[in-house]
Amino acid sequence: MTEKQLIQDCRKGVKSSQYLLVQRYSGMLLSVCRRYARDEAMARDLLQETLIRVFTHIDKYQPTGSFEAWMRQIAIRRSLQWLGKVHFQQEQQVDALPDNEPEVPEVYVRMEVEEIMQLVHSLPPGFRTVFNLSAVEGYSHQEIAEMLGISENTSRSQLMRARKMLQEKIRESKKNGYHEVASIRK
Amino acid sequence: MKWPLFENKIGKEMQAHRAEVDADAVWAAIEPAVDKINNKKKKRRFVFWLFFGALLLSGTTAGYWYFFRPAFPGDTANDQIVNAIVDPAYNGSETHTLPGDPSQSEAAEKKAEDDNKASSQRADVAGHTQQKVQASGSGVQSVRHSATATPESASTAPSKTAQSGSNNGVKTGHPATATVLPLQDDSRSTVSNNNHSGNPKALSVDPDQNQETRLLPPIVAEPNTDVNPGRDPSGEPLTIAEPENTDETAENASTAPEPSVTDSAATGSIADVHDDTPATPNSDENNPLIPPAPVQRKAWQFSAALQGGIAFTDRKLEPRADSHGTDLLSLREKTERPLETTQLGVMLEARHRSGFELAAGLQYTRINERFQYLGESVETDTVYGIQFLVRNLYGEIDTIFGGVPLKRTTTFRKEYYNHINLIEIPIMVGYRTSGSDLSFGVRAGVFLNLKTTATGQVLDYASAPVNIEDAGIIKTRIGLSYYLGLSASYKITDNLEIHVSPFARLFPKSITEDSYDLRQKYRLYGLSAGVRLGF
Repeated sequence: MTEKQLIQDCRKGVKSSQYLLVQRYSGMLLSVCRRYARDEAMARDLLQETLIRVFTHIDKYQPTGSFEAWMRQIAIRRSLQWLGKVHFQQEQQVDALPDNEPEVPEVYVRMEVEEIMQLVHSLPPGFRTVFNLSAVEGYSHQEIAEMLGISENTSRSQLMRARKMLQEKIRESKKNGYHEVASIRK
Repeated sequence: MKWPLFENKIGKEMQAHRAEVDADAVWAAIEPAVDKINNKKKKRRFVFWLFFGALLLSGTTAGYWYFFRPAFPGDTANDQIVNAIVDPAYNGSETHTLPGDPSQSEAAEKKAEDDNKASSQRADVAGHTQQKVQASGSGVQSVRHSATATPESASTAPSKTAQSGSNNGVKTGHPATATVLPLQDDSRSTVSNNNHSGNPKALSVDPDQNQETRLLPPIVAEPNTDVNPGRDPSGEPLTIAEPENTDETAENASTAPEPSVTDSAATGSIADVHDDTPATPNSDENNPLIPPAPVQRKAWQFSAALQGGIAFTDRKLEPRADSHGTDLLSLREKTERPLETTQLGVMLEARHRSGFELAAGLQYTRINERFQYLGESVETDTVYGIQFLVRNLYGEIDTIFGGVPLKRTTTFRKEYYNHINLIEIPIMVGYRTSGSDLSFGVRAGVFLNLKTTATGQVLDYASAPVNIEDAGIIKTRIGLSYYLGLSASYKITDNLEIHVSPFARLFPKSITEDSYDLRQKYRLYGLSAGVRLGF
């Protein structure tokens, strides 16, 4: 069944198509929810709520954009609502950008996605969220500022700190050995 | 690899990542909620089509009545004229009581009697009277018949074929009653009241007066029968030029709008007629013999109304049964206060002559609230001060100075004005009395919400202010709300009215999303006012 047909059927309330949608997109949505949720239980709750919102508002979906992106946006917004904004509203000064971009050892370049996700997930919630929104979802600082109710400067600042922290973690994991990093996810 | 490239790689891989998930378990968890959504959508669709159907039906009915209903039944005067025109065999001598109250009829009767007396006196002098009657409103002018009128003309214009005075004449004895004399459109002839006896009540056609055939001005309405164009003031008969061909006269009547009186004396006489009772175009109301032109009220009257209003807002916040919203309720009730609600709208209204009315339009409603909360900001500074007090070996207390953290807590009060904006389609039915200038009515209906937006802030569980819009607290459509109102309208001009309307509105459903832990419902009690333009 094509995506278009699937959407049309879901709009009409055809349950088999709704089930198919859940089957097809749950993995992607859970992946998004995991990036923002505090823990796995919260991620699963968020997934369910995202799917319910998708079915509730599917009439409003405009086929001009990607359906997947639309659902991802719902998941992100819902996750942010759950997290609340207290994590993001502490004003921070913008640190000066590092003069030299650090080199990333080749061994980490070959890391699996889930391992990288674990590293990102170990960041504090505010940093993690801003990093995900910027580096993964590709939102601009202006968009992030609007979504989180913070200033653009705060967004920039938090992204810089998140990067620094992530680099630190990579360095630490280098010291402790790659296998330790891999064990985090287990 | 440089960091930006690495970050880019992370981003792409994470976006493309699909987590492993048990879709059946997820579906089992959300299936009841999905069923609920499906049912809600079906219900909404049904309500939408129900209203659409009702609107279409009422519009079609209104259109039918407006465009295809030519006249009203029951208007006797109008029916008589119409019947007479349509049916040549119609008995024009049938008397018809003028519409209006009895007092008017009596007054008219009295006036007519006075006129008759005066007429009789003049008739004694003048010898006879002549009366010209025009049945206005139908475009038919009834005047004296001509003996030379052909049978053909008689068949088409019964009044012309004056076989007897009672058949075509007008009974003036009862001014409140009048005989409608139907004639063909634009045909003219004169009716002569041979009233030698001085009895103006018997307005009959005398064949002997044939020679007085004349054409009348196109618009003549003369209630008085005291004129005698056939004679000059001295009582001598006037010499009026006989038309060369009276048949032709009748035929040419429609094309000859001016009187064809050639004799100067006769002209003067006719002028006298006009002097005595100045002809007023369509002055039927001055003529007790002629029923007033029926006032045709349309079955449906359409109007557009612009109205604005203000209302007291009664808000009800309550926790959902399956949630732990009591704490949130307490937080929100402490920090929020509903203010007034304002509204502005345009309505298209269709009002039946019975008073029943339908209205639909577009309305913008804004519910205003105030959100106030006390916030705290904590700043920690390091100041130089006593860091430790240490007792030494000799039992003395030593003071060690150093950096001491100093915590500063600032309390501030923030105030926001929250707005809930509703775009709605009001659909109403009602009844309005038919007064002269002032009318009263009652209306009930529903407001179909098209779009709802909210701006402002509220507290969340953590006592932190959150943006209403971003938090997705308010639904984008809140369904139906019910309306009940009274109205008083005052007519300023024929087409313009002002109206005021006290009303009550009820929002039966919560305007918050199902996922939000509190239900938020409203009742509005207010007053709206506006203008209504008829067309």
